[in-house]
Amino acid sequence: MKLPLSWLRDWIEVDADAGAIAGALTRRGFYVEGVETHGPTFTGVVVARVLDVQRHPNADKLTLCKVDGGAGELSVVCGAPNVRAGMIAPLATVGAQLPGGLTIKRSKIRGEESQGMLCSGRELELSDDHQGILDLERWLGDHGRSAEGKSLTPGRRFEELLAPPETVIDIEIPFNRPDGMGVVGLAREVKAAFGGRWTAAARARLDAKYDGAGGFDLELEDTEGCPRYIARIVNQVTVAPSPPWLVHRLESIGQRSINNIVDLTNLVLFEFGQPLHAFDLDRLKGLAIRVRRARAGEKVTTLDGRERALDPEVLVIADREAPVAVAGIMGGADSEVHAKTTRLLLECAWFEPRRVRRGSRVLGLSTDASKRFERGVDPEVGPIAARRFLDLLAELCPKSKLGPGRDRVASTPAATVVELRASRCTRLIGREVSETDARRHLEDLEFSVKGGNPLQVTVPGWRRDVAIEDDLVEEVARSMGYDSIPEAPLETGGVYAVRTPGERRRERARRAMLARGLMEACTSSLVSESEASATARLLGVDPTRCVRLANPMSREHEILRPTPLAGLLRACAHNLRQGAAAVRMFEIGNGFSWPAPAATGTDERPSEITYVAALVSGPRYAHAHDQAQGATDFEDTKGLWEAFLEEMAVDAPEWRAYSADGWKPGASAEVASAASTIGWAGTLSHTLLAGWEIEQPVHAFVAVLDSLTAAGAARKVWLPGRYPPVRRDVAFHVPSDVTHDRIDRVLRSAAGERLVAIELFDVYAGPGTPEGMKSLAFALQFQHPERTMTEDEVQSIQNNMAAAVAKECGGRLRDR
Amino acid sequence: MPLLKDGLPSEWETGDPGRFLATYVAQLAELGPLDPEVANATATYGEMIAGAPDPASLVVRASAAIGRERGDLTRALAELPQLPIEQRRTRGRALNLAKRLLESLERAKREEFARAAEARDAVDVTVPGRKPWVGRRHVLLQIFDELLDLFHGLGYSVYTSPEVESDTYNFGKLNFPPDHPARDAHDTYFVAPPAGRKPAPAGEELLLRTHTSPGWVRAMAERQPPLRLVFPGRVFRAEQIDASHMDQFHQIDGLYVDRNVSMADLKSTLNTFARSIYGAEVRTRLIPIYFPFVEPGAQLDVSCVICGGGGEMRDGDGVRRCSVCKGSGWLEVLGAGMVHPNVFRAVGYDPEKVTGFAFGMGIERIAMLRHGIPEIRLFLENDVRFLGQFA
Repeated sequence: MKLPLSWLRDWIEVDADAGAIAGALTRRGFYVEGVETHGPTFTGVVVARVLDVQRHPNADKLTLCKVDGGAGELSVVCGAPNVRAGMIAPLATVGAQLPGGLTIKRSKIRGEESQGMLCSGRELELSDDHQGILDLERWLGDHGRSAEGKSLTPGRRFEELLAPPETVIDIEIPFNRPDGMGVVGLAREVKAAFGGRWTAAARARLDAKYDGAGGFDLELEDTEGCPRYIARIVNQVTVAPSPPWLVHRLESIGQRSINNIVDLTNLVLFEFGQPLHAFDLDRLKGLAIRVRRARAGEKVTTLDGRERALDPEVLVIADREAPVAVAGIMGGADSEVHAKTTRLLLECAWFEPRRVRRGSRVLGLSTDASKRFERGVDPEVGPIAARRFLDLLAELCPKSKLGPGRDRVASTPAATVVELRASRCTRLIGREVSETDARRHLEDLEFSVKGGNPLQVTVPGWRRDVAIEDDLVEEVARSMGYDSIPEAPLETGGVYAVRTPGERRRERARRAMLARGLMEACTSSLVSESEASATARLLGVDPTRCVRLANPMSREHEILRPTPLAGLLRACAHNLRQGAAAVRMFEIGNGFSWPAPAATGTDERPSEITYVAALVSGPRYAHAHDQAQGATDFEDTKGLWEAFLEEMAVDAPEWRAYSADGWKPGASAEVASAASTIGWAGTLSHTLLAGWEIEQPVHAFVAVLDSLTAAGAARKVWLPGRYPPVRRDVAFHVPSDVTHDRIDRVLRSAAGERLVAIELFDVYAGPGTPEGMKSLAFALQFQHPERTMTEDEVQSIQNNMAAAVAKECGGRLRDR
Repeated sequence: MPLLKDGLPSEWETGDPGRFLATYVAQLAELGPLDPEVANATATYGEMIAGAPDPASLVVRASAAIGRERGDLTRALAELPQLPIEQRRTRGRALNLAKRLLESLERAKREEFARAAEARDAVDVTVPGRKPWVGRRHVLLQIFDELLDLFHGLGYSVYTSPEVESDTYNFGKLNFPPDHPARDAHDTYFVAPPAGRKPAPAGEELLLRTHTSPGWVRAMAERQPPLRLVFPGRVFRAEQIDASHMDQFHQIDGLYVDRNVSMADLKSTLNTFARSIYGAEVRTRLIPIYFPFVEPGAQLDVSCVICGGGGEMRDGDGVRRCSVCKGSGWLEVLGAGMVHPNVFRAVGYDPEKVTGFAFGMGIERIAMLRHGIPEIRLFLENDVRFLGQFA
């Protein structure tokens, strides 16, 4: 909302300048976004007539002009292509100050004296035009100002042709303060802030009574949507351009002048926040107004020229036959006031906020009027606003005659009385507030206050936002100023912070991933259909279980990601396109899916699981220029994930071959702890990667954060032995299909607790191994906690191990 | 039996032991009067050891002299008992002296080889190393880390709540009436019901939370005051994406409910936050603002961190309006207020018994101001060159 200072001062007398007013408005909750002064920002510019134009002897693009600036003939060098003899243009005389700080001096330009400067629109900040100097006759014509009889006598101060300077305060109006969407409402705030008073004229306008007598065929069929409607006929009006004061006033808030009638409805709209509408009475069928819901199939062409299909959610103003306006939103084109209108019907109504809001939604149409009705127009201001319009119309069209009208009031909202305790103010605000102070602040805002302890506060019609005691506390607090609230010392109040297990687990997972040299990412939760499907399948989730938005803004952001892998792949593709050799990223974030169809019910929610997801692609090292460098492969990344799980204190995770769409066949695994599946890892298939236009191998890992039991807190200590361990290397031939995991478990179980370390150090199949077999070699360490082990003891355990491998895996100890 | 059993191979070149062992000459001179034969043999071995061309031949030569099993001097020591008693003493002493001397020489020579070898292995230290990858925390999560540290210090624990919310938690219980214009500020993404299922009844529609405030409702419904909680998380708005708008971003809300919490407590908490995040010298102001879920409502502004609050920037010789605060000198950083009685009622608290304050802020804005990041889109793009710079 724009608040021009001259308009404000037309209503109130306050002893404060624009800066002080802006500051007070902000401190009272009307955030001032800017204060601007419109109007001339130059001095010393006069109207001048170009008498003669000659070429500059020393420059092709310059001319020498003889100019009449009112005080004799001047020589001016000009560079504009459009300068011609007879033209009237603004002349910056010697000593003139132009916007941007330029001062005009007598000067020589290429050897020729110049006693001033002919100005373009841009040089005077009147327009963006810098193609040539401003042709004043044409410019005034374009702006509809020629009718104002401004004479273009050379020497006249150019400012006089322009609107007087105006300071405009630009304010962000809070949702709950529709009264702030009118000059009067803002004036009331400013008045309260500075202890000012209404001007005599304002007082008269506010106290004026409206006499709605007469007779007019008006029916309120939907009294819920429209509890009050004032209709008034005015005869013998003359539609004409508005007088300059009205044009300037509307222009100062960025509104274009249309004609005197429309401009007056707008003026009242921006003063009281009460939308008015003027119909051309002769274009209404049957001199009647019906306020009703639209009927299915009805249409109306609104003022913006668009035909709009209506439905019964929309409240309309109709004549005897058809809708002529959408109530509270926009008038109809067919009944619009036009140049030949002589009889008009003024509408000044109160429409129910939710009804207007529904209509506005159904039609996808939001206007200055609908915004005010939706938020709540003062239900008591109608007669005052109507009277203001009619009084101004009488001034602008002295020959007009008031005709009959109706003021139908189906219901009047009951006055709201709210109790306020000073003690409640003190308790919430945190400083002592006396009942006297509270009363004074509320009365300054024109609340009517009676009684005491508690105060009985009657809420005025323009403050329908105030409904409960705490609303009044806010009125008191903002009137006193939040600046006056002291800072209480910070105290614990007996509440101490704890890091929750979930928080600790998440932080631990972050650190574990960072320690593996992975970059933390933060990717979109919303992904495309193809991204969602591909990444859902990786976890064996049917893409139909993906969670879709009902109202996506784009195809790219249509579905909630099943896991963060979708976004990581997008980030991976972006970085590779940007020339990165490697992408190593992880994200801890939520993935979403509907429960499997077996579980049904309408009140169900999608599952929301926090995943740790990671992608690795590209060289092993950030830098290496020897054989250590190479592309990261399955085993490199499996090592990363194993180290990650170890850091997360996952005990003996089991890796099982796993296959699902999107993984490279034979290169993906499911990871399980004793309790459950905790994650998936592997190399992605080139088919999946092609969906992101990624051409190099990418390895992925996803784990369910909550399944990573960061155990350790309650664990009993295990003391490492101090007697020297015995080391042995053994190798077994086992059938090719026996997994490492299998033989590892067999060996551990056969060896028992004396085996303290077992590590695979070679896998071989080829010449020397029997058909269908492979060789696995292990480095073993045996240790006794209390003594050095003997050779026989170790040998006996090794024999057990060999026997178990033979029995359980069909393998045998390899000869040395 | 001669001291040098077989003589020494003639191809063994000799060297100067004094080069490796400064005390060699003096010690050898001590040996001469004692037993000239031992002294001669020692001198011969000494020169041979000193002349060893590489570590391997040093081993061969040293063991020929003092090797544990086959060394000539070792053998001579072993044969001592066969000598006449009067020679035994002096020879024994001489042999022991000689042995120690040659051992020292061998050590010195070996040391010399090791040093030479190290010198040969010298590297160009300017060649880049074999460097592992370095992980970095995402710039937004760094801001979260900082805020969580701060609020933990002030006694706030973390509470997490779902990103997919119901209308009632996101709006209804937070005192947004149905069809209220305040909902317009929250362009909402709704979740489509899964295929074959009926849409949820009004008020129960699923949506992507538009703010982290539904967390308060969940926390209060679950627990009893006093409560001091923060609610970090991701939120969503159905907006067209451009340089300054993203359809998802991050927020943190805070909530303190107790018997007599007031705006004075809110003010000190917010000022502590502002000084911690925006700098000790920052000025703040608290001004009224409307949110449906607080009453009174407040907004915290801090003096512009770019222009220092003057609203102007020096630009060469001119002065221009600060583009960050748009000349006002203030930045809006946070919304706050006293928890609305209707919100308390919605969770079964009695607004006469407890009061509380709440606040909420955007994380992206803090990061953008601090690092001069011009576009909000950069946060979710995850360009490693962008992310890698925030250590």
